[in-house]
Amino acid sequence: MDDKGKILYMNVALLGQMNSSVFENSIAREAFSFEQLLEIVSIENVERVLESILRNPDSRELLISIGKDSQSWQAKFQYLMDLEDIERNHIIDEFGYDGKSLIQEELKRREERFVSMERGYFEDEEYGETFDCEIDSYNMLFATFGLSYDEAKELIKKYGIDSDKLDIQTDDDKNIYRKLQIIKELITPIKFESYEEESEYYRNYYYSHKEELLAISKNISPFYKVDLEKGFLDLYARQYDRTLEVQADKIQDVSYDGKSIPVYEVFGDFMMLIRGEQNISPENKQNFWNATQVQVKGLCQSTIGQDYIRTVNYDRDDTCFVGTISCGDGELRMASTTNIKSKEANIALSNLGVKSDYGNGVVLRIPREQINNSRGANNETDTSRSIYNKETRLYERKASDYIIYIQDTNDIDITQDGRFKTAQFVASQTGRPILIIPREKCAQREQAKMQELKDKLLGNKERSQGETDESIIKDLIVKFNNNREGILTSQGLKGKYFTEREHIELVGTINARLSQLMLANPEQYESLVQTVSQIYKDEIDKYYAFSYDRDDAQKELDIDSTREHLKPYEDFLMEHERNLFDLSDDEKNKIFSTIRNISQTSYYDMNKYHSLSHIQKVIMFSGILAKNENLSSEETAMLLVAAAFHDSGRDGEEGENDNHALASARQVQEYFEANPNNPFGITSENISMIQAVIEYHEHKEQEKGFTDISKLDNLSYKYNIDYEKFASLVKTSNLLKDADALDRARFGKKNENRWSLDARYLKSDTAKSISMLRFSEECNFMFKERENQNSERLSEDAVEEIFESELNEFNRPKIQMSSIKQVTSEITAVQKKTVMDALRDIRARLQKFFEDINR
Amino acid sequence: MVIEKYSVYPKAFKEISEIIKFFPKSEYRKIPKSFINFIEENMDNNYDYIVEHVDDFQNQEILDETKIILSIIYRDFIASNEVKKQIYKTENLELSQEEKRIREKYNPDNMFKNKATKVEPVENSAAMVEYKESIFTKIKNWFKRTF
Repeated sequence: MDDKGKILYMNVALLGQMNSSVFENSIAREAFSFEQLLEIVSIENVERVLESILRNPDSRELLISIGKDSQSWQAKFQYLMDLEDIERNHIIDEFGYDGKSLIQEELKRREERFVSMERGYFEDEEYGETFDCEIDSYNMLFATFGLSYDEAKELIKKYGIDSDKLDIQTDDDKNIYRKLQIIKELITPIKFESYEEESEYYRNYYYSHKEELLAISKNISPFYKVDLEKGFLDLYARQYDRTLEVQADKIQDVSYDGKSIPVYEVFGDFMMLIRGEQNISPENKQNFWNATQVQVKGLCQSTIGQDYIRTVNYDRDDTCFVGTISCGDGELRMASTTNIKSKEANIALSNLGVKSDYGNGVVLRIPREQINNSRGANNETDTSRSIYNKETRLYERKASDYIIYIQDTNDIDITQDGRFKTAQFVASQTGRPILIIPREKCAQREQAKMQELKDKLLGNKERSQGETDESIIKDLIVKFNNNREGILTSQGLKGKYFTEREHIELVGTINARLSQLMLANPEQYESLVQTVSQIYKDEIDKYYAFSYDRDDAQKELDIDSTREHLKPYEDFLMEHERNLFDLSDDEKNKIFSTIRNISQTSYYDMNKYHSLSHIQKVIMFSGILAKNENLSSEETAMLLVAAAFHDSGRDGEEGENDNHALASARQVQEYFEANPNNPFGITSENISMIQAVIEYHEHKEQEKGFTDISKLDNLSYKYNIDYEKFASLVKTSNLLKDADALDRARFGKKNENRWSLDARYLKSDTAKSISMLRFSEECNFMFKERENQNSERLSEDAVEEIFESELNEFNRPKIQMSSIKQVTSEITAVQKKTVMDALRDIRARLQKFFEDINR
Repeated sequence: MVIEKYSVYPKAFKEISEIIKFFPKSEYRKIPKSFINFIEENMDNNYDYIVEHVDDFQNQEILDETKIILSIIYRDFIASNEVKKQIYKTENLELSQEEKRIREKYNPDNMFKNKATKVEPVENSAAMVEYKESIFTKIKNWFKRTF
C-alpha cells in the first residue's frame, strides 16, 4: 500500500495460504508475526509440523521464544522440524521459562561425559549398565559442544575451509573462532602408528585444553546447536563487513523525473555485494522493491571485485543491479556457494539447514576466496532480503547503498543505454545514488597489474617487500582466471581481454622464470616447480567442481573452451609428474598376457559398455597403478586377474548394481576351480582375495572417495581372508575401483571424458595424476578410432599395439606448447610474412628445378 | 639442395625437424604430413643439431629463422581455433599498420611535401644527381625484395 492506503500491489498467491488454520490459532498469533506465519504456511510440511506442535498445550513458551528471535527463528524452527516426534515433545515439555530445564538437562549430560572420560567408563543408571568411555575426539566433542562426530564434520565442511584466513578482531570473534578451531582440531584425521599413540595424543590434548573445554561446555542455551552455528555464520558475516568497500568519485548529477541523482564511478580496487533486479523497467511502475515475498531470480547477491565482475542475468536489457557494501547490522541469512553443484544455495526457510542434492552442500568462504574460487558459476551469497522492524513488526527490504550500472565497454554512451535508464528510474524511486562500474577500465587496470607482475617475475622490475616467485605466480594465475571469469558474460570484452592467447603467454612467462632458475639455482627451481604444480592443480580442481550434465551448465559453461583453457596447466603437471609409464618388459608381458588370456574367453560377448575392450583397458590401467603404487608381484597378479574378471558376471546387464559384482565373484571361482592349471598363474590360495576385490568393486561407498573399511571387513570374513592380508585386500580393492573408474573416459568424446569422472574421488595418487587421466583418454581415443576404422572388435595384436604406442608416447620427454609460445612471442607478423613468402619461393623454385631436370 | 639466397633455411629445417620430434603426439599430429615432408626433404643433413633442453626449451639455442617457422607452425597448426582467430586478428592489424607506415614513408608525394622551399647553393651538381638516383634505386630494390 502507499501512504494513502491505496493498494499498489497484491500477491494473489498468498491469498490462498491465508485460509490456513494457524492464522486462527491464538498461540500461533501470539508467538509469530503475520509475515512469519505467511512464511511458515507457504511450505506445506512446515505448516503441518506447526499444527502438530500447536496440539501440545505446553508449546506456548517454546514457540514465543522462537518467534521473537528475528534472526534465527527459521533455524530454530527447522531444528524442531528435524527432530523425531518424541524428541520434539520432550523439548516442548521440558522447555519451561527461558528453556532453563533444557539447559540444566544438557549441562548434566555434558558433565557426566567429562567425568566418564576421565574415569574410563560410563554408568547408564537407567539400564544399570557400564560402557567404556575413552578420552577421544568423539567424547570430547559431545562433552564440550553436545555434538556428534558427524554433526561436527558437517559444521567444519561448511565453515572450516577458510578458518585460517578469517580476520579475527573482537573478543566475540575470538571466542567463536576458538570453538571453530577446537572442533576442527578434533575432527581432523590424524594417522597414528598404533592405538597407544592415538590414545596418548588425545589424552594430552584433553588435559592441556581441559579448562577451556569445560568453560565452553557450560556456556549453552536451549537451542545450543542452532546458536553455535549461528555464531559461525556471524563470524563470516563480519568478514564481509570488513572486506567490502568501494572507492568512488562523483562524476555528475543526472536528472530523472524531476529528481537530481548523484552519479559516482568506481576507481581503484573495490569489492561489493551486487544483486540483480530483473523486473524493474522504466515502464514497470510497480513498487515491487518494497515487497518481501517477491519471487524473482537474482535476489541472491554476488560478490564482485575489481578482478571479477561477473553477474547473473546480465543479458537482459532492462536489468538493474543494486549493490551494497555491507551485510548490515547482523540481520543475516547467509549462504555461500562456490560450485554449481550446490543447487540449494538460496534457502527457503532455514538459514542453517541447507541441503544440496549434489552432495556438496553450501560452503562458507570469505569474500576474497569466494571470488578466487568461482569458476564456471556465479558465486552467490544469500544475505538478508529483509530487515525486521520491531516497532512495526513488519519485514522491510534492506536498502542498498547504490544502484549499480555496469558500463560494459568504454565506448558505450551511457545516456543511450537502456540499463542506465533503468538505473535512473530505480535511483529516483529509492533515493540511492548511481554507481558506475566501468568494466573495460577495470579490465585495463587489471591487465596493467598483471604486466607489472610479469615484469617482476622475470626480474625486469623491482619487487615489493614480501613478493616472492611463489606469491607472484599465484597472483598471476588466480587473477588471470578471476578476470577471465569476470568478463565471460561481457559481449564487448570477451575475446578482447584475458584471452587464451594471453593465457598461453602467461604460462610461457612462468616457464621462462623456471628456466632462469633451472640454470641459476636448481634447488629453488625444484621447490618452485612444486609450488606451481599445486597452483595449477588448485585451479583445475576449481573447474572440476561442476558437472556438465546440467542444462544451464551447458549453456553458461563452454566446456570445450574451458577444457582448452586448462590444457597448459595439465601439460605442465604432466611434464613434472613422475614418469608412471616406464614399465619393464616383464611388467608389460604380464599385462599383455592377462589381456590375451581373458580375450580367449566368451564372458564379455554379450556386453556393450562393459565389453572386452573395457576389460582390456582396465587391465592395462591396473598394471600401471600396481607398479606405481608399489604392489607386490603377488598383489599385482591378483589385481590383474580381478580386473580381467570384474565384469564377467554381467551377462549383458549394463546398469549399476552390486549383483553383477557378486555374479562375477562367483564366475571367477567357477573358472579357477575348473581350471587349476590356468594361464593366469592363479592358485587356489589367491581365489578368495580376487573374489573379495571383485565383489567390492561395484560397492557404493557411503562417503565418496573413502574406502568402506567395514564392507571390506565383511568381505574378508565372507571369503575367509587372513587378517594379515587385510591391508593387501584394501590396497587391491581400491586400485581396481580406480582402474575401473578411469575407463569412464569411454563414455564421452575426446576432451570431454573427464567431466564424467570426478578425479577427486579416486583413491590412489597415481590414478589422480594428470598423466594417468590423459593416458586413459588417449587410449580410449585410439580404441575408438581403430574400432571405427575396422567396425569390429580389435584383435589382441592391435590392442597391444595401441598400448605400446601410448606407453612410448607417455614415456618420452616432450616440449610444452606454452614454451614454444614463449620462445616465439616476439616474432612479428612482418617477420612471419617474410618467411612464409620465402618458403613459397623455395618450394616454387624446387618445383621448377625438378621440372627442368625431367625435361 | 641449397638455394643460395636462402642458404640459412636448410639448417633451420634441420632444427625444426629435430624440435618437432619432441612435440606431444597429439600436437605433432596436427602438422600436415606435406609440411613435414617438405622440411625433411630440404633440411641440411650435415648439420648436427640436438635438442638438449626439453624441459627448459627457453634455453635451447635456435636460429632466428627456426623461431619464425616455429611461430608459424604454432599459429597455423597447433593453436586452437579461438587462439588462431586472436592471432590472425592481431597480425592483420600489425600488417596493415606496417603497410600504412611503408606507404607513408615511401609515398613520392610525401617525400617532397615537407622539403623546405629554400634551395641551398650546390657546389657540386654531380653529387645531387647521385643522391637522386640512390633514392629511386632504393625504392626499386625494395619493390624487388618485397614482391
